[in-house]
Amino acid sequence: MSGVGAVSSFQKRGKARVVSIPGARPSVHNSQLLLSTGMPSLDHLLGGGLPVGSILLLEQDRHDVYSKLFLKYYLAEGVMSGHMLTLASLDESPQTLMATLPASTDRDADEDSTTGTDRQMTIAWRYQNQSAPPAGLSSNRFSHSFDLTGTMEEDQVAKVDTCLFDGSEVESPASTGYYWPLLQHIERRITEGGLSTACNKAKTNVMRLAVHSLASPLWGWEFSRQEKDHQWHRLTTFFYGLRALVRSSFCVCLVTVPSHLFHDTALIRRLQSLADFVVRLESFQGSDKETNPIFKDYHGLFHVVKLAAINTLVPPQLDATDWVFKLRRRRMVIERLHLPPELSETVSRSQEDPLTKPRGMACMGEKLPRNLEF
Amino acid sequence: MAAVVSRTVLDRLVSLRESPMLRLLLLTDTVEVCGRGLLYCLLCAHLRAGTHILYLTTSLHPAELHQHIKDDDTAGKIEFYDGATDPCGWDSGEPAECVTKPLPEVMKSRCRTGGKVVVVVDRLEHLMLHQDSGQLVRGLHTLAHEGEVEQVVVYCGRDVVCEDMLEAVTHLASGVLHLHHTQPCSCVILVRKPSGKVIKAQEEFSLTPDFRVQGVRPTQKNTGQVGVPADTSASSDPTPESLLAATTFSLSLTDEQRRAKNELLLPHTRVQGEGGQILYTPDQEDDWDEDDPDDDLDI
Repeated sequence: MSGVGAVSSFQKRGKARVVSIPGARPSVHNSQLLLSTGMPSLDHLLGGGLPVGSILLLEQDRHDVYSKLFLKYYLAEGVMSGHMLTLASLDESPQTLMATLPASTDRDADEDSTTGTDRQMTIAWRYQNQSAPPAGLSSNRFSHSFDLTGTMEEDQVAKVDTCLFDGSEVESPASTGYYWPLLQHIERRITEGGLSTACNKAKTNVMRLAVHSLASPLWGWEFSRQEKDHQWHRLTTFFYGLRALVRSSFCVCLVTVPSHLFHDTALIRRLQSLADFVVRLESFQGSDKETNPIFKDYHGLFHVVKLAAINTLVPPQLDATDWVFKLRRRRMVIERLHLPPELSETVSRSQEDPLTKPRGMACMGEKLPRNLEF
Repeated sequence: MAAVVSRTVLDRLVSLRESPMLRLLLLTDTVEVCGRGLLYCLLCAHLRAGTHILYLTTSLHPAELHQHIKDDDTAGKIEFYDGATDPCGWDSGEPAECVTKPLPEVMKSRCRTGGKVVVVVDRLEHLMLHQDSGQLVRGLHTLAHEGEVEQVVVYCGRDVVCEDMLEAVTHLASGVLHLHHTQPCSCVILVRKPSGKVIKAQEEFSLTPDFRVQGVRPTQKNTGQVGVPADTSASSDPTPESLLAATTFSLSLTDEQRRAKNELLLPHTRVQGEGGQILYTPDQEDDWDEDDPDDDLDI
């Protein structure tokens, strides 16, 4: 009989309304459907993952070394989950990017299921007749792990519905530019896949959009113009249109931008206000921070510029403000910046921020030594 | 003669030992220092290696250039596109095609016919007078990624060309060489490899009359340090005399005492340096980092 705590065997008639999309899970903060970015540490910073219908803007490091890795993780995660992919890149051939994705380190589900299915259970014999749990869970996993030393096989990449945009099909780039054709291309893809929220079909898949190095010199000359020249409208209209398309469909978008090239900071502010999540990479390559002993274990600073507050008043708060990223041999991680423990004999008890420490002390000028040895 | 292992980036660049070959190389100079010598060095190295050169010249006449870059006894040959004689078409009536048309179109006919080529753009700023900057940049990028083209060398004066063009080409280039007016001539080199490694170097060099680079040496870095310098005061005695005189403790060390302190061998340092080696080869599942998480402990 059905008492408190008993599981009822009553089943509701009709199909379940649950949307099951591979590689997606609902958020714990709000009811958003989240997708993984491919890097668990980045997912944690974004509040669990990238919500469907949002744009992540990634400001590239100076030489576009680490931002390309972020892009590859994102695409590789899409391949593993079987999502539709659309990649637009002018700076680098999209075919090269797709051919150099990191290899997955998940073991095949088939290997595990062949071991010991015919064992006679001696203790839990009541469960002998129950059917085994469904195998093949790897495609429904939220986040997969990748190994940067290996490359994903071509046949695995070929299984996924991919569309590449490299500007070659644009006939007259001088008159139309690349932004408008790309926007039309994306819209066509959304309509063909039935991913728009206006379309009543039940959604079984999402699309991952990736735009590499938007607004670089090959896309247009917006990076060098000032706000007063009023030459930004192609780029900003494209971004606004992209946001509208992504919001009204089952898509997620990653856009990387070489913001160090922009002459006027107002341009990056406009793009930041249009995007949902904004992060910036600042690598130490070639800068004087490379020799700073605090940063010697890390490869760059990771700035979280903006987090989205979708359906909430404030975004999920992060417990630290300084983040750094580090490229290990096999993967990239984002960590909190800790100062290493000072265990040397001369412990300097300064409470100032070591990044912007002024030379010389306040009270006695230069005469007071930094360390008093006894 | 024994082969010298070149540790300087400039040596590797000019002797074409940089692998993979830099697809788009930007060479800049200023009014004070001329980069033509270094450009000719690079081209002579290419000719000796047997690569053909397609040279688009906008300031010097091909005959003048031929005096300096001789291809009579080399495997590679040089072919000139004359954009210097009459680029605007004042005499002939038609502007020269090689400066007005996009670069890939100009080089197209020659590129497809066998063998690797190197394309040289002499004086980017003159090309900018005839072409739209966006089209020019796209042309350079397309040309650099053409299968037959081994390298595209762009030569310009960085004090003459406008800032955004310089930034645009620097963003796309895999190697940048900025020449500076120092004694002897020095250059700042930036090399971006496809694997993601970025090499920055500042080296000085001199040229021989037959266009070879010699005496390459890294320059002494005397840039102002902004970051926190490493704590070096552990080794020296920082207490000044005034503070020592103010206290009633005897804090200073005599020379004998200082010598004795420095010579003292602590027990744990004695046992270090002995013992066996640990040979470890990481497995497939291991995530072995070169750095030890205990490195920041300084016991």
